[in-house]
Amino acid sequence: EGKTLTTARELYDVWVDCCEDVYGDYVATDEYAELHARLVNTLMALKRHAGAIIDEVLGAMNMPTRREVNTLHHRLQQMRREGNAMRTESAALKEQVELAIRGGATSVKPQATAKAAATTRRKKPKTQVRRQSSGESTAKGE
Amino acid sequence: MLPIQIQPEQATDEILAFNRKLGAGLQNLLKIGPIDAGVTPKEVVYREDKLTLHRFKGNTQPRNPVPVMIVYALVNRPYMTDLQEDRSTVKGLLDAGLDVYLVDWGYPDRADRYLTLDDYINGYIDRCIDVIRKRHNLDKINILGICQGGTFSLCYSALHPEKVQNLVTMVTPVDFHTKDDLLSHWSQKLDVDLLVDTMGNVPGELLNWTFLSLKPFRLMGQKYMDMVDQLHDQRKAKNFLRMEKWIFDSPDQAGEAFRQFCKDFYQRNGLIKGEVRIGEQQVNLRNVAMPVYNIYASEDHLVPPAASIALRDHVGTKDYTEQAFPGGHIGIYVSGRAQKEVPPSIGKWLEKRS
Repeated sequence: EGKTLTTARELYDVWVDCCEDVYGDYVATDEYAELHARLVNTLMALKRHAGAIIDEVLGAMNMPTRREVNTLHHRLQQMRREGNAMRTESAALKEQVELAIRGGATSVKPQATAKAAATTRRKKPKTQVRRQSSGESTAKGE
Repeated sequence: MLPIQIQPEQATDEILAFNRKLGAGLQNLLKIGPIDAGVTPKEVVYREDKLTLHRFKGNTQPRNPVPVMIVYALVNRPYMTDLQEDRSTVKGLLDAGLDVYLVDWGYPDRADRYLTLDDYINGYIDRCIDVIRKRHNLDKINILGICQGGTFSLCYSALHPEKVQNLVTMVTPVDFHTKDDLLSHWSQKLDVDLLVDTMGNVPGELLNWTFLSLKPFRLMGQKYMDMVDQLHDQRKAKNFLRMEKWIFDSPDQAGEAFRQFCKDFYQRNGLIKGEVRIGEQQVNLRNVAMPVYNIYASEDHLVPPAASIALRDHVGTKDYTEQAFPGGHIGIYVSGRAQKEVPPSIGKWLEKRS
């Protein structure tokens, strides 16, 4: 507005601004959202059918299929959740037992109490490795 | 007078100068070498599956006795918070006297396909927080959630308020149905179930191209025209390439977690309606009763300000602070102004409440 463009770069920048404005107005419409979603959904439907065909071929060759591997992963993740829940419960129970023991140890001789305290004293925290399987990759593409 | 007054000789000179710069820049690019990111020394304190919990080492001892754990989004890599020497939110937080931990989610593969939001929030985040609480012998720690990580942190704080002293959210979407939220608008008619059932994990490249398509002319054209002006300078060229590396370093999204986040948050806007369930528990933002510091970027096109500001009306805390930062979604971490303003403000806010 009122500005004169004297270089190709200025013209390009104004062109970008105009394109972004027009583009921004159109992609915010319901029509575009509908079209965009239909495109993605259709591509996914096609890919899903292609995947089903590949699984059929793999199955016919007695090879593992994507469907089977998904089932394995699903069951494995379920088991890991159950394992985590049991670990949490077990840690809570262990803490309760230790508290109960310490509570009952007030009537014990001081030397025995000191020994019990020494064995339950926390060690200096080190790096904790909860679970490390050899096949875990730590970088994309590995 | 016509608004376009470009003389042919001038235009020719301009094009020749551009080509000379480009040629010189390409020579420089060949000498640049590998691009590193993540500059602040750190140690690994916990690992689980692909997740790593880091603790950063500052030049001085932390002054704030309550550590802060940064929860980043799943969608990009967290080294954005520690990109380079003069663009490091982590360094700023350390200088502000904080003891800083960060959750690095790693790169999910198809074995992680069935990880749910429950696994991430009540599983990984909860266990990381327990590790830090045990290390410091504390009942509660501070959490700093960034973008989707902020949304996760809100859910976690609502479900486990007894473990959270203070909560800081940065550019965090809370209301996913604000008028100017293009990502949300595009996702409404998407068949997310079909997408996840077909792809398994959602490829990082797919999300990346979606983000670029929000402003395609700037992000896929103009940015590279600007790049030519920086290539002559090795330092500027490296800085540019470091950002490029981060932008295109997008992990895949675990299928089930993506399904739930897209459907429950983006499509149904369940968070502010109190309809989100993580595991077997309903997330009620009124349970976020600890002090909250909500920072948003006023020119954010990925998480519009209104999407973050909505938090004010839904949390249960009486100690709510809001801060607008003039910049974009990424600028809030990497701009020079952000480095001077954001980490010190977080440090001061937390110091008063620890």
